[in-house]
Amino acid sequence: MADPTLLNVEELSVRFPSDRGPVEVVHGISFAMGAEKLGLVGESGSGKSMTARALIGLVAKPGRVTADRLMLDGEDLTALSPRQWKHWRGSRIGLVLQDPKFALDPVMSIGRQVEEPLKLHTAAKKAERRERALAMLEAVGLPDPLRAYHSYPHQLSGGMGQRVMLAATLIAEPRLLIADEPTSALDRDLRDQVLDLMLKLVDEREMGLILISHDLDQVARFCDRALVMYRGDIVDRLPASELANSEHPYTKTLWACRPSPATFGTLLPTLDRVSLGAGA
Amino acid sequence: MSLVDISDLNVTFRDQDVGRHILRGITLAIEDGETFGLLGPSGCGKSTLLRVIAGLNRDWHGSMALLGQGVAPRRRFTGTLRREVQMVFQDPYASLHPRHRIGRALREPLVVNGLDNPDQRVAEALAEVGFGPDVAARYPHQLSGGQRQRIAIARALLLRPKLLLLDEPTSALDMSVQAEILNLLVTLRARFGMTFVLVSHDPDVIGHMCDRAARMAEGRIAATFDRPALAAGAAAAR
Repeated sequence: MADPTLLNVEELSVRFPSDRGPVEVVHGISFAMGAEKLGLVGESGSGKSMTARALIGLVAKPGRVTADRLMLDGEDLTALSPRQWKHWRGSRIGLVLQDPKFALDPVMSIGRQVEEPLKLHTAAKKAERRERALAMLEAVGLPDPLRAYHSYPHQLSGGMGQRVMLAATLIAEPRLLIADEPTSALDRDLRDQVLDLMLKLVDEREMGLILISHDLDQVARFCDRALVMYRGDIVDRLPASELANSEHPYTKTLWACRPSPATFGTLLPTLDRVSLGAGA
Repeated sequence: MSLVDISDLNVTFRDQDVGRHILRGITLAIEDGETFGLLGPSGCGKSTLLRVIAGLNRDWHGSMALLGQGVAPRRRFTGTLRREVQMVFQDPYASLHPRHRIGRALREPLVVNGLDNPDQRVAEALAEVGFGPDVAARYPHQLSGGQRQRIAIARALLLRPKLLLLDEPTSALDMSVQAEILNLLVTLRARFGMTFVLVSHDPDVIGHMCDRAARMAEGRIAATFDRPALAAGAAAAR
């Protein structure tokens, strides 16, 4: 395994107040990772996106994040002030979201959005920013970077929008990329293309990647290790290539419930939530 | 005669005074009792075709017969067709009125069609999709996405349709919840002897559910697959 000290998380919890007292949506999880590809899988509501938000300091009020330890690249994230977070986000940790339609600013040109992290985090002058943005747009595989630079989000397809988001995230060269369901808004044929590209760029830059997905097959094909979350806990940890052979009943069902031509005429396995609840 | 019989179906939309040809000469026959899949990329016209069959998009040219009855363009469905063709939409969040309780959402098609014993029918319909009768008092926002999709299926089944149109019924759901909904559809199809037309962009869902399928591209049927072809994974190949 690569150097395990890029990210070190101990006892991370996320709580929200409610009428019936605080609700804990992430229950004291711990994990460490190096410059590797880590898959975070689970159903909606399992806490995987909330974990990602906690790592990048974006849990909205009144949510509260606590952790015994939250270290990125040797620096303590728990002690960051909102102002310091502003500097860390983007320059050290980048986040790619599910749907470029909502994540890109509709009234800002693509070029300005890709350059923005350079403006915030570096001293690069205008001409240099433009040059780097164009190079980045080319690196994410846009056929005509200059045209993309001058266009607006609504003029791009979903796949192109996702490439632009990747360009805007990677341009400030963060150490850790968090991708939250980066391909679920895309047509199936585009998914592997966008992931291949993301992995290639992550490898070239020797970054760490946390890929959040409910698609276990995708994680098995693209990641080194996998953490499986259920109701705010990590219930299973294993090499991603072993997802198909997990002994854990939850992981097993998540893997086996995929439909395929081979399952025609049969009922798919479903989660026995009653017994899972009793075990947790 | 086939349950769905469509020949030379054309649909054009006018977009800023430019005519856009959405469906180009679709000819299709779907037999009683089969599950027929429609797949293809976004914008290929598969949802438009489904909306024509549902009677929601009435502006078309060509000829169409459903359940042995001829349907004319620009006319609403009449008589038993209004009950016998039902549709389940992609987004369970958008297809239920947010301010109506589940019981009201389910009673509406019964009242519109003048059926007796609405309360009993609602309770039965809820039981068919695995809910107790107390769910009738809840609002849609108090249910999860998968639960809402089960409500949408219960509502479509209330009128005992012969033809059920499913527009991406599981693409807004988690893989694990998708399995529950697909199982429910398979079980209900066997119990009530329905014919399904299933639109999906996922060849695995089509391969799991369908007896036959068609791949659409740019408003045309580009290829059709029978069960042996689907079993061999033809739907996933490009």
